[in-house]
Amino acid sequence: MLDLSAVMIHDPFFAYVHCSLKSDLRTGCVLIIPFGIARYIDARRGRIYFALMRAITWIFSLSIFLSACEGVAPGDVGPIPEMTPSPTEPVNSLDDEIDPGASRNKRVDDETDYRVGRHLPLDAIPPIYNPVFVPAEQSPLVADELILGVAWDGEAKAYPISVLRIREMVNDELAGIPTLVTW
Amino acid sequence: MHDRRIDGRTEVFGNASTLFMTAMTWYDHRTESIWSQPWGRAIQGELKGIELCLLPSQIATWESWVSAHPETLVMTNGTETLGLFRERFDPDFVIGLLWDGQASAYYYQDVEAAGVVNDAVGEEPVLVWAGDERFHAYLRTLNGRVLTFELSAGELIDEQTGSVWDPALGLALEGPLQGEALRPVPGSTAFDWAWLDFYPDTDFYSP
Repeated sequence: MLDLSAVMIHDPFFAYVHCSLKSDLRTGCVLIIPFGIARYIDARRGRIYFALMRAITWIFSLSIFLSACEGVAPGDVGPIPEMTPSPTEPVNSLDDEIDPGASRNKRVDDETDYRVGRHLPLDAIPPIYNPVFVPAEQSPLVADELILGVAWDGEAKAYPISVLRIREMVNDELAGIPTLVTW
Repeated sequence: MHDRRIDGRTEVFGNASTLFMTAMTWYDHRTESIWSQPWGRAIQGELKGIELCLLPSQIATWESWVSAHPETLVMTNGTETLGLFRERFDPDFVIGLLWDGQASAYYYQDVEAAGVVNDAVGEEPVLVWAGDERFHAYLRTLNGRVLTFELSAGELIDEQTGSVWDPALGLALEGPLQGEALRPVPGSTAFDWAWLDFYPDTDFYSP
């Protein structure tokens, strides 16, 4: 998901502060600050604004980071499930060309040397490795809550977008197909 | 949403906690290669060049999703943040479709205003429907025949047979094609400039 407000959260220092404080302050008010800024940027629709605000965010984040760096730790990831290669390729009745059954990763010939900075520990924003589900009748969602939905082979799953915004990644499966949900 | 198998082997992905072209990056636990999310491709490390298979997914309100898929499960991790944000599609939000190396993008508002769009990704005919903060995109070739869709009294109809279709399911509810299903097109949602960064050859739909 390439959402500007999500990008704000992607800002490494900010992300770390965001994640660390989130575990201390469970009220959610910390979360609202960056999204407020992001909304402002959305309204201006400008990359220059984005760069400017990003710089401000860094300075702001750094000051918080330095004052709050004692005792901060990324959120609890929990045990990572044992993963095994998929033994069979399930058949999907609905769509056999874009059938999730076939593992169709590609190989792209790309000689470009991409530069990617590494400033933060991996999983500074902790992904969801062990998603938990309830049936629709026990859903905590309200009617107009947006979800990312996926359905095939008679199974369906819904991921609340407000949760994806915070956690960004889910390692899951549907009907035997291992899936990676990202936002 | 991607299939996270590489050559049949299931990989576990985490957050690489850094940005590439202002978009998120992943790492895989086995090799710690770095992946770009919009490409779904490893850009650094042992797996560089591997691209995951993009799977069709939808964005919908809970209400419309559960009425189309009553059997659905709901993820409950992190639901303390529920309701903090009321998501709406921004004016510069697009749905980007990827098919056979070609990309097309559609502004939500354009599709919503048109009701239904008969278009193509590369050479592949597609149907794009939008409304109620929802997007659905399907291939409109069925059993070798290309269908053309229109809205008639609020219902999605194909001009060839007059069958009535459910846009949320891509399923013909009534008429000669009753029970037939369209195939969803893999895609993603993004801001237009961000989409263009990663897919510069995109055809932008204009009404």
